[in-house]
Amino acid sequence: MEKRFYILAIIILSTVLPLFAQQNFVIILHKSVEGESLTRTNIESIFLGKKSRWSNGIKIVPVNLKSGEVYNTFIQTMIRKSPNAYTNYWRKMIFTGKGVMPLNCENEIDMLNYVNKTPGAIGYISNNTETGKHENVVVAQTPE
Amino acid sequence: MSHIFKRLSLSILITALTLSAQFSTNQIEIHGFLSQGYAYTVNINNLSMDTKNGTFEINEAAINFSTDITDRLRGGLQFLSRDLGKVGNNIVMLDWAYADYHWRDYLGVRIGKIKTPLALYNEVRDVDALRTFVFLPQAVYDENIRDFSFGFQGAAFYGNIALNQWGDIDYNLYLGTFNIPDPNNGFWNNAFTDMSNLASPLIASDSVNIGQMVVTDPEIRVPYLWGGSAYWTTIPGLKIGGCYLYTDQLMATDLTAFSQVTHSDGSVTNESQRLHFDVDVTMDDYYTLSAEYTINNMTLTAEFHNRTYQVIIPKGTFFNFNIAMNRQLQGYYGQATYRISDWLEAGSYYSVYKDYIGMDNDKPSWQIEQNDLCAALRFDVTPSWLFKLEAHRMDGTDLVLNVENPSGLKENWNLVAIKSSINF
Repeated sequence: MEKRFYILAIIILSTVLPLFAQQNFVIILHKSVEGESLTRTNIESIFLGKKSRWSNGIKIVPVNLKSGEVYNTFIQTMIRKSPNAYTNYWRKMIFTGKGVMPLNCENEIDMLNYVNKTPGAIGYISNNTETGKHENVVVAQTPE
Repeated sequence: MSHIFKRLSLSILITALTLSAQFSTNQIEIHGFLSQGYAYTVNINNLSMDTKNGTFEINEAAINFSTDITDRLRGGLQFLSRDLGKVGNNIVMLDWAYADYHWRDYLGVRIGKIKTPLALYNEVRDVDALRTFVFLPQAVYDENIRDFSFGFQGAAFYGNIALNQWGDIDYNLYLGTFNIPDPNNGFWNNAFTDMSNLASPLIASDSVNIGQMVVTDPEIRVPYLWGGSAYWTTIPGLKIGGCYLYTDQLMATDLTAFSQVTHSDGSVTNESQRLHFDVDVTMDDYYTLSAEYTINNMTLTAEFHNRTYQVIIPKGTFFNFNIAMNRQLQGYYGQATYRISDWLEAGSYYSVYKDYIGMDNDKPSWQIEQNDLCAALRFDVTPSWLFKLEAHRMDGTDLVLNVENPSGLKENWNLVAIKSSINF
């Protein structure tokens, strides 16, 4: 009985705890869409391909990190899916012809470079990373 | 109408590829998957497979190409080859091919050959990598009617309506027809066999004992089908909704009835009789209600499916009046999956399928229902290569094909399946 209780507790905790993961990232945008209001719901819609245009008409270009702690936290807190469920969501879109998965960047430098040169791009980097010489990259207010 | 849709789809495909070549600024995305399974059962041959002896006749392979033709226009196509026992046999077919004009997030249109948005997983039922299980719950995803439900040719309006704090709604509305490559195979062949079973008692009499019925030159015409689906994502992770489909199928075949005729003098002769048989099948209550809740590593799913259709034998076929028969089938399941680690996922479902108003009411109750308790493990060896192991405990045989089990059916039976797949 006690053993069952511990197993159940581990399952519940591992299910719920990621919801409270501390945000270790900031949202970055190409300066062409600076000032766009971002809510968690907006970001979820963007990274699920449900919202495709910024309010100024520019096409939204979401970009992901390929893997890692920042990627995992972003997906769990902003998209409210596990990384595996998020990958499966996009596989479903790909194998029904409904969409193409956002570009994956190997690391944060690649992401900064991509956002810097791509109007309409939105991505995220660790909150310890500086945007440096990327003059077209702006840091957005990250929604809770 | 069917020919018009075929020509239209081909034209769209050629146009899309030509345009994509001309507008070479956008690259062509190429993706695919490949899977191979094995199934073994005790007592029963499952679906159209020889599972009592163990079978490797379970596989799928597909490759797709897609590209952005303009800022709002996409085009693509997917080729699929599959095998499930006597169905599929790895003949390569066009799985989907369409042009997609995304006018606004709340309204777009697709034209071509499109996967039918039925229930939560019908559009991706061939993509093994997207689920924990080898076999989807058959109570809702009946493999016997896959040929009927997997796709259509026509047009679909779709979109996502944002409701701000109330979530969003994904919807689809579509109109078209079925492309039926060969009515002598799979679901359509079973449908004609059912037709011949219907005809048998109608031409039998006290003096005429009907034996074998042979179907010759079957033809199907689907003047049109239409349907829709809507799924509301409410609180984060919760998706609820449903789908509806209406079709009208005109089926015609010649039937040769081999019979023994007892004459007035007591003599018995073997005779054959060839007759033309028309049937109008109206699928007028095909719907599924769905709920899926995902909270991080756990996903809970429940779906309820109803399928009611009316079979009308028009006057003049056998009698000088119409004959109408109804059939109602229902299925539902509850399912839970849990991602234990990056490489391991576990899942279980219990599904119930029942033939409520059937045409075989003289059968014992366990032959007009089927309950399936399934437990499965999925091992992700790499992000694109996986391996699955699952076991089923079955009660009942309503989804089992009599023709695959000539030695008879057993009420309780077990199924084990393994499968491996890759995708890119």
